[in-house]
Amino acid sequence: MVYRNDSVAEVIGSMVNIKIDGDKDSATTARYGVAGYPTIVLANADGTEIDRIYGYAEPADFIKTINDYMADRNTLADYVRRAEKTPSSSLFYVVADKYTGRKKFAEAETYYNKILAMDPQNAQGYSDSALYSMGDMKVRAKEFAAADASYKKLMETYPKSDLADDALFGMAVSKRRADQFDEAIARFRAFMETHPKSDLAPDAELYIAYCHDKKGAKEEAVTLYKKFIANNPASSDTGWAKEQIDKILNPPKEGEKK
Amino acid sequence: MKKTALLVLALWLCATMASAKEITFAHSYDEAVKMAGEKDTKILIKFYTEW
Repeated sequence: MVYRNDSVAEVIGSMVNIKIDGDKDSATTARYGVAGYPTIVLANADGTEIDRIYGYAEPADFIKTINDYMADRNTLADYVRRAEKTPSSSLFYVVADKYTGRKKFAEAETYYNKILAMDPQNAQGYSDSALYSMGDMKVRAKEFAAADASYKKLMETYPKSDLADDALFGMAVSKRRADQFDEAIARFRAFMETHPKSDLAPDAELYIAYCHDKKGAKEEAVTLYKKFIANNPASSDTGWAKEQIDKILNPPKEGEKK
Repeated sequence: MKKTALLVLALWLCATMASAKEITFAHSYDEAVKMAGEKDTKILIKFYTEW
């Protein structure tokens, strides 16, 4: 394969390169805990990960990051060493976040708990984020009761946190992910009533329609999708809402793929 | 005019191809690990999806 950007080619030319289709090679994708695409992983010759880049990066940023990783700068291992030498909430948070990205949830939780132990007053501003991230992580791990516990603890311990309403929304999402649609609808409705001006209110409205759809209340779902579109004409989700209406009103015929 | 334009295009393509770098890609993860072990080098894995 020919690469046009000389600077990037210079950096990656010395390595063995491989492209993995996440849908086709699920084993390697799972091995590295990849959850989104594209994800670029720099690894040692034996496959052990050094660190990774999420999404698309401009060539200059890509080159700097890869060169840093090659020099063991700003890698997970580097942050772990720095956190051990000079413990701080900010360093613990970076370590926890890197572990979460690799789906190493137990290791991530250890560092989130270090933050809570070090700064229970949230003076450094990472304790509320630690609880929110733990809740999010628990939802991904399908530990829904634990997710609820983290979100509740955030709201109770840090009620004035900017993340308090995100935590309430997260509790509703948790029910949705658990396929407990009636409970999810109730939580999303409660969120909209108590946080009508929140940036997440339109998402709550769309999720209510979606939950009706998933539990089989198709007629109600169509009404709610249409209401969402009317209330949020500029939303980037109106196209998706229209697709769901179309799927309900024009279901594919038996044997026909849509 | 057309011949000139084609000549310029051909010259540009040659210059581009001459400056382009060849990157070797392994065909599978196992092959990548084997090649990296033989060359004692790092592996760069790009995870993607078609859709």
